[in-house]
Amino acid sequence: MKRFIVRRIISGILTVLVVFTLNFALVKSAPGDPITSLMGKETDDPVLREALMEKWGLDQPVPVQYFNYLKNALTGDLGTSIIYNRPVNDMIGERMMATILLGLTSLIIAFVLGTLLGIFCARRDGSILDNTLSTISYATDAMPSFWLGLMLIILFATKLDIFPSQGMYNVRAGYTGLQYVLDVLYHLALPCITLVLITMSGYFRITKSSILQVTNEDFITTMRATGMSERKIFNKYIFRNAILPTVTMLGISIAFLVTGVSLIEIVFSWPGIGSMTLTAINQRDYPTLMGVYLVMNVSVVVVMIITDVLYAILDPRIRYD
Amino acid sequence: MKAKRFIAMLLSLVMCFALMAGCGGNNTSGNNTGGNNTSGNNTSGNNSGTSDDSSSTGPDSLVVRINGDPKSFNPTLISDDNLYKAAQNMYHRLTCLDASKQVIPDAAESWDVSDDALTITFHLKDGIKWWDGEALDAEDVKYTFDYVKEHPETYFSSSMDIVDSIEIVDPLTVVFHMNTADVSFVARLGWYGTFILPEHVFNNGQSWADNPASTTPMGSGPYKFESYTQGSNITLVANEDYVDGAPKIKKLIFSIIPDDATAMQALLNGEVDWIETVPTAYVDQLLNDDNFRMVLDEYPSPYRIIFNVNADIVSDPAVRQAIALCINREEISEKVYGGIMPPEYSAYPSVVSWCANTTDTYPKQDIEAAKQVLEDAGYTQDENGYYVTGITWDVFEGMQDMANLIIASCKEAGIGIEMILSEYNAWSDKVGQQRNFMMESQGGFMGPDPAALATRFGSGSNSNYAGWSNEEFDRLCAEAAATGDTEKRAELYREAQKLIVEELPGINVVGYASYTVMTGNLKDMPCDGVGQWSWSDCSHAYYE
Repeated sequence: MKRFIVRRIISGILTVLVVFTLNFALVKSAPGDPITSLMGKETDDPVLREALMEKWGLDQPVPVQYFNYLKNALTGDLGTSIIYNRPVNDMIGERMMATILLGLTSLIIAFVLGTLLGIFCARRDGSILDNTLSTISYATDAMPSFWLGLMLIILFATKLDIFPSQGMYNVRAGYTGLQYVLDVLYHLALPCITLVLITMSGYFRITKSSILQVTNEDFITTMRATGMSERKIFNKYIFRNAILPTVTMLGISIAFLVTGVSLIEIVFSWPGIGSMTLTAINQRDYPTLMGVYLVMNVSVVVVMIITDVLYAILDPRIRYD
Repeated sequence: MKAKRFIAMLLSLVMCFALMAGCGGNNTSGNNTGGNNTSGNNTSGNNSGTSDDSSSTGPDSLVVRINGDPKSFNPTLISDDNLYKAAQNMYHRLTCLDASKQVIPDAAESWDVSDDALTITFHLKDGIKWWDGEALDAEDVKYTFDYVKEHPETYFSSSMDIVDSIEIVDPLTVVFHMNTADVSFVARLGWYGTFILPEHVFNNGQSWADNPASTTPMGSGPYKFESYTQGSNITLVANEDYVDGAPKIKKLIFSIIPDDATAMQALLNGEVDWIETVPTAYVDQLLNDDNFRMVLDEYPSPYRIIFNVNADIVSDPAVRQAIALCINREEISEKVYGGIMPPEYSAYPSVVSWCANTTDTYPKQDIEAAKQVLEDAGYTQDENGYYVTGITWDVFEGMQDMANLIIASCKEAGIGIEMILSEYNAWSDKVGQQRNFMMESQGGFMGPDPAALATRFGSGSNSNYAGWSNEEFDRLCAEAAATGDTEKRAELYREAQKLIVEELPGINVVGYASYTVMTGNLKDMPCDGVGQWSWSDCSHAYYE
């Protein structure tokens, strides 16, 4: 097992390096540059362009830029945003908690609700409720998240006046302490509901189909023949086998937390990493983009390693070496 | 029991996240100079903590929508649309532009231009103070513009090439000695990258980019910086010691809302009070809603077509003339811009009426005349009815509907044009940097002075994407820039526009206009201060 873990970590590091290099190449090969964004749309002054290119080291050969960035990244320094002239570490740090709050809260709710409903419907396969929920799950799965978000804003904020339409807190009021926490939760509601509706259907369907599949396995039929109670069969044998794909999906979702909430952050003006990333793409802010990609890259690899190791521990049939 | 415990744990987890976010949520860009904790100055009549934002609407706060985070808090370092509104409430320039985009006094209450236009003397307004109580004087003006001139990475640096030196006559009088006569310089001082910075704060050996005052501003305007939360808002509070009296609205908040549709919903819900540029889809609804006031804002920034006069096919003036004859401006204005953007027939925006040439204008649509022009130039129709094919038109997102209508009209006249649609950065790289195009469309400010004609079409100018060169045009523009006689300037610029219309390096299609919307009972907003206060100065605003 120890050898397995070491091998997974080494391959994880190699993956991070390869993806880092690919990201750098992709970001640099996109047409345009951050200096155009920095200068604004109202000037084409070549002297200003040259001075800014030199200031930000963009006049150096691309390999030099790559190794400089790699060297800094290895020491934990993600560089300075060209557009905002601020350390990328600080920018990510300030926004990370907003993304985790929105992403993780909605993920946990979607996972719990989706799984429970999946189990519920699997045990009542073919019922009216099952058919209704399955249809709804296809519908929400097919909806673009930004569209659903806007529809919920129009319905719950504008028409019904139940929730605020955007932002993370009431900017006029300047609440502090518990009032501020409650205000954040109040503003969290709509984006969270949107994300839950979008992501829950995945957990619902995978849980349901997985349970149905295990239920039809021969060993379950054998257990039923032995006279074991349905409750015990389900709790001890069906559920534990069927939950594995759902847990895998949860792991992947956690790894892709940032990308998953990007559009929702834009629609709800939620000040997280996702909206910062989309802005950085539009502005070609290389250091910010590389920083965010690196954080995402490392988090995906770490979660995948943990998932692999957990699998090996939880399922005695899995032996990678 | 287990289920209850689980739900309790889940709620606790969410609460923990919220608390953690709460601890990290009020980050400012640095040490807060404002220092005024206004949490006690709650504008809401309802302190329930979970009240809707709309319940907080009151006379003490004005929430303005901005599209994104500011690049810095030093508005003289770089141009920054996201900071521009806040900057106009925190700093002074020598001159500024009002809502009609005309030059009015700011820190300089008056100025004199010598007969040869080589000496410009600014008389500063007495009593302007930085937020720390120091006086804003000629030293600050000289320091700011000397630094700009010496540092090419600052936005206005190249514009300072025509300034030889800056002389302080007394604390309230400063003279710019020019090496080239250009009366438009006064107008340009009222635009981007020209805000006066405090010498006593910035002149400490650090570059502006590294100076903490570029992230934690020290201004002289009617509002003081209080806080900035990345991705969320910039909050300013009233400067009670302001030279013209304290602003009536005590808190000015710039709320960062990237998405247009969300911003409009926030307005309808009372979370935002002022939005510039209302999307066309919302105009009718808001015009019929008594809760809001809509004001049409016209800019000298026409949407236009630029021809690369050195490129194949369109280097032929006959082809450019034929395309000009295909454009139906009224149809474009109505179908694409809901009638808000007016047809533009003048070479310089007709909204600037004192110098726009409304006599020698671009032609109205005439498809038969377009065909005739091509036939007279020796073009013949191919089997598909085309006289000319192979023209490409580089368009960035947002301009494609206008381009599609023109391309359809051109097809009727036997001119084949293919649109190349790109995202703005890709367009800018290909068109702006590489100049690799035949036709392109662009917007962009042609103010604050008609001298912008020389910038956009003058020989050798970097913003002359057409690559057009006309000695007579250059002479007329140079002569106009060197005289302070407005009548004479207007006459010269009208002559210059005639040359553009004749040779067609570019064609204006529609003038830029958009609605600005604000809460209905807001009075004396920036749009109400033509001739009196700047384009985004909110210090006069109040709720009726």
